[in-house]
Amino acid sequence: MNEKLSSLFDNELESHEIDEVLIKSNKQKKKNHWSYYQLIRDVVQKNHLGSDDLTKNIIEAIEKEPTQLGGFGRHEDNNIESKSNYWPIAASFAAFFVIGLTALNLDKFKAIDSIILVEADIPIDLINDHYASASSNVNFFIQASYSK
Amino acid sequence: MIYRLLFIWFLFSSIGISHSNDDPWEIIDNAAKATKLLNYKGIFHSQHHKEIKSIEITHATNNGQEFIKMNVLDGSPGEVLSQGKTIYVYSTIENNVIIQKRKQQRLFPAIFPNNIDSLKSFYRLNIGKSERIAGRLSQLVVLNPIDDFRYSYYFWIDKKTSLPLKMVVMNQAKNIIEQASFTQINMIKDKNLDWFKPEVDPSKNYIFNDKIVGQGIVKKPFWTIKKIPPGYKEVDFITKRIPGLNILSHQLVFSDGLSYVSVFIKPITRGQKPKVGQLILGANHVCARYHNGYQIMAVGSVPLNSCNDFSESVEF
Repeated sequence: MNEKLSSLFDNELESHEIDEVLIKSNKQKKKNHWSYYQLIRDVVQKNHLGSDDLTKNIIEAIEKEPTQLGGFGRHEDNNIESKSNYWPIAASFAAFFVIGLTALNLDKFKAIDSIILVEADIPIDLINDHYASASSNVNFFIQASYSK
Repeated sequence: MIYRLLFIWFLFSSIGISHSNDDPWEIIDNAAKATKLLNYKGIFHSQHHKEIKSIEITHATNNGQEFIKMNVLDGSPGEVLSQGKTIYVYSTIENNVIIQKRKQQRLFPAIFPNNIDSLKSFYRLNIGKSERIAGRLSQLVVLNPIDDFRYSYYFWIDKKTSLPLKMVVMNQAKNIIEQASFTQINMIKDKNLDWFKPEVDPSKNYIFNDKIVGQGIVKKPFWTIKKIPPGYKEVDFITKRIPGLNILSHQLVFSDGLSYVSVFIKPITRGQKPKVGQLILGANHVCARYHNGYQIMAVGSVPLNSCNDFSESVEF
């Protein structure tokens, strides 16, 4: 009977023999043998995908890993290379931050654009206030500004 | 005859030696005292950069208190009446005479500080030749700075009274920055103070401001001053509320006893662009800097590096 089952999985049985084997295997409760022959066939034909338990174990292992932004870490020997992979993300974040801040405070940024001092920029009050406090006879007679 | 000439030569050389053994700074000390104690009246020309004015001065000391009256003789009328520590400045603008009360300032000829010791550390004193100024024999005394943070001061001191008759301020390139010189001066013996009153023009409107200009408003400054040029000390602090704006402008005045620098700290208002850099404006250097929302400006008749140091000294 086992030879018949093996031939069945090897596609070596004729169609009329298949029905006979299936009927007999059910009657003889050959479930374990059936599973073994399925596994052997898949391995030999390179179609084996692993058991349901294995898949379940792998999924559980993945769920236990911490969440990461840039994919999973590599081997410890490549630690420096793996860290450098985060720079593009950090740089992008910084760029967005600066652009956003500039957009929000455009007026403020414009206000600190300094210009080169020229004579016309110096208020006469400022010079008079200096003369009013410094010992210069010529300029002491000017009217100093005062708080109103 | 030969022995007589030798005796005269020996006598004069002895006087010269004895003079050189004296403290040379005594001549400055005596000059500072003379400006306070003597009663005199005269006219001097005062020049600051290209501006020249003739000023009449009358000075008297009565019961230990100084009385000074100065009149501008050229251009727009101006007058100063000083009694003790208070000065009233009368400046005429068209049909108005603005009377301002100010703090005491050291004006020519009384330009020396009360304590000249501070000058000794930063100026080197040299005795020059004798010259006639305003018809009086005077001794030239030069105060050269020991560093490049201040200018040179030349004084011609009256040999008879020790009163400064002339002053010249020169920069490193020997260009005159400021000068004042008596053209005539007389000592007065009359102790009458009838002259101590303003010249009133009934055709003018007199506007009196009794509040001392720039009396401090802020008690606790939010800034600190770091690394100012050596020898300079803060001698005045003035805060003003800018008319129409709810902001305060601050002025710090620094002096080494002869040179003066003002440092202005003023907040930048909306739409205003801060200024940076430096330039020469008349006899003054002006150095501008922006810092944390404030415009910092240093102004003074001092070398450029000194001006820059002051503008950079403000931190907060």
